[in-house]
Amino acid sequence: MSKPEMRKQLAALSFSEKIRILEKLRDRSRAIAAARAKLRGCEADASKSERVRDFL
Amino acid sequence: MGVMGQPVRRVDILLPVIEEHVKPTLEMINQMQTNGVIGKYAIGGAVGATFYLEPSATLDVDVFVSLPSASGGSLLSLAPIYEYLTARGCRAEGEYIVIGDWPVQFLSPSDALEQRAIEEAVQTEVEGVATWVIRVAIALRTGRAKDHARILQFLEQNAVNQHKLNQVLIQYKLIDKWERFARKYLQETNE
Repeated sequence: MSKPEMRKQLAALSFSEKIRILEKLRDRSRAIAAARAKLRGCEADASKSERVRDFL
Repeated sequence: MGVMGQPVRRVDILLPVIEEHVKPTLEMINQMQTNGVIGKYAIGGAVGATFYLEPSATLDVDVFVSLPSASGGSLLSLAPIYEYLTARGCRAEGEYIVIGDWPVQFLSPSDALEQRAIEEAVQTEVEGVATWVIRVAIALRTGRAKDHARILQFLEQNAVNQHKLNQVLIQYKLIDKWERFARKYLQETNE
């Protein structure tokens, strides 16, 4: 199925069905953002422990 | 590398996906309407646009609301909304108030076009809960990049009643803005 056809098909869904997809998209965005933040935290911890190791 | 030199495993960064539904948010807004805190309302933004287009990711809900004016005065305040909702366990976060799991931004109409958008809102339902979405694209006037992108989506998917749009453009003196938008985006697209 082409992308425009898929978009048309999604647009034709009922509002309730579209809201269910929108909820999933939101959950996914939030999970990705949280994972990124956690990863950044890990990287910061890693660089801190490397700095301590270098100091010692 | 992770904490204390431990490698970060992929599994460590995967967080459970908890589905957060918009239905309880709409139920609370409807209850607030039944209790007379707000008058008519219309969902705008990405959630409102989803009524016409394919779903797109968004983190919040924009709600245009008619507010009963304070005892004989002409000043409108969103304070009664915040008081009502915080008394029911919702919390304010900046310009949002979190209802259920969704941050909601309440917007009072700033002019006749927004007022009309509320009055002419389309009734629909989400999982059996009645709600209203905005009919007229206010996006053109606000003119942010994401609003322009949404207008293009509306046009691409033939989700615009061209006759009605023309009437609105004339009535609210938006013809110049529309022409600028069309020159910038539609002509480039057609080339």
